[in-house]
Amino acid sequence: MLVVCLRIPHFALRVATLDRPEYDGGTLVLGEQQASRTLIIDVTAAARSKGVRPGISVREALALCPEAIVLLPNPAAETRTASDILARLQTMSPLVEPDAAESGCWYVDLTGLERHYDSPTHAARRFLQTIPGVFRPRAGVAPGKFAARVAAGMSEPGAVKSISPASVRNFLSTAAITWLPLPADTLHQFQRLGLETLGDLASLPAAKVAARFGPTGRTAWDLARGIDPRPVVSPPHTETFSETLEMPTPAVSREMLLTGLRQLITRMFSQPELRGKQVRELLLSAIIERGKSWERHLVLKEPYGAAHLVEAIALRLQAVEFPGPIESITLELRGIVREISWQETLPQFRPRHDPPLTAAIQQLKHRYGNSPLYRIVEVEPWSRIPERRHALITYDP
Amino acid sequence: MVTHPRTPSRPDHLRSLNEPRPLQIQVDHGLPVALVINRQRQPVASIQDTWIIEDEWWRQPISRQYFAILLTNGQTHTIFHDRTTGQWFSQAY
Repeated sequence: MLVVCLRIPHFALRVATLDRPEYDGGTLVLGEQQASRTLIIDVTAAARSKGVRPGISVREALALCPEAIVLLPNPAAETRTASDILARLQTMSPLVEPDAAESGCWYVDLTGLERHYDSPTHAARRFLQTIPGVFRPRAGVAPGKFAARVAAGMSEPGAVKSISPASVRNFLSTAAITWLPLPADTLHQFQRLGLETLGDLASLPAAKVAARFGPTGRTAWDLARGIDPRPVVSPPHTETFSETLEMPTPAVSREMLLTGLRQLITRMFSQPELRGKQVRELLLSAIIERGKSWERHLVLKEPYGAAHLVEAIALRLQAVEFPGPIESITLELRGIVREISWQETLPQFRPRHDPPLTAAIQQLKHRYGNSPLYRIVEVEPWSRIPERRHALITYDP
Repeated sequence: MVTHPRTPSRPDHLRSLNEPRPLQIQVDHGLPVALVINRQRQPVASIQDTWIIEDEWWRQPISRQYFAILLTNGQTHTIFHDRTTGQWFSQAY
């Protein structure tokens, strides 16, 4: 099974430069607001050569590399770009799988495409042409997804690196062990044992690797030897509905946002396809002033229809801070199901006694006048002022 | 964290967590040199980190200089100097 891997290294960084093409080729770092600090999450090679690495703060990064340009991620544009590229690849092959662990990486199974292209390399080149050159994509062809990904990683921008089935083990033997799709601590353990390349791992007896690292180790050993039977699985087709609402003025208050959402939901559920349906999952994205964006994937505990969906979203957005005034919101509904009805319990079948905690609270209220139990809620978890982050509110079920 | 029971929040029952606690402290040139905990003087072994928070200048300004300190008995504390009132407080950050 020959697989093409198409990779866009630093995908989030590349997308962030789409609106600012003048920065392309500069010393770029991608920062993300986390709590009260902005941390670096990705860097270009130029910035890395100056000692800037993911995980440090922007202040540290600028101290190391004063000419670095700090960009903020644009999650909505990343999702849009990734789905556009996936759609283009799917027009050429039905077997396209986005890498679950790495944004900007796709696998295409070449089985059955031999008649359409002269060679696997020619096919990979055609796939590569579907991705705009500004992303500097690269491709790798190899038997198996892992080897194809390593080949793509070693390829030059816009080029294809092909590895024949006979040479795959030899090719992988010199690759760094960090290519393995394993958690960072497992890779660190490998390195502490002196295993720097995939060849080092492949030369060990399989049983000993499995005894030390369990099934993960055995899988890693197989991958290091070029044994990768994992098939390319296309994502299941799910029915989605998407609508966008332009706000009349940039929304700065949560109430205004919820009013917009209510309007959007009413509009969506008035469509004949959604009438009488409920949703289990949604993707809410917002375009923020100055070209920024925000995105949140929400999975609901139970399906909601138009009547209660806004409340369910509002509950989940209680502690969310938007990075600026919202210009437009897009709601994508997924997991559409038929309306579910709940049979109310008949009064005579209700328990005679309240649950123990409720009964205890009732007794405490009688004694002290109000419930002395509290629950901790997040109020402004992003706040730089510690006492603003959490609060106690009366627990009064 | 307790799951939200979906009862409406009552703002009149909101109580902040992690309020700053007033602190007795000995200072030298604006830097803490010892804390007084349970009437006992605990010298500061080192200042591990310091940072400044300036916020809400548009209403009631907040200006604090935080210090993450290590005491000679091995305990670590986060304290801050309220630069608007001059008082010192202890507060986990």
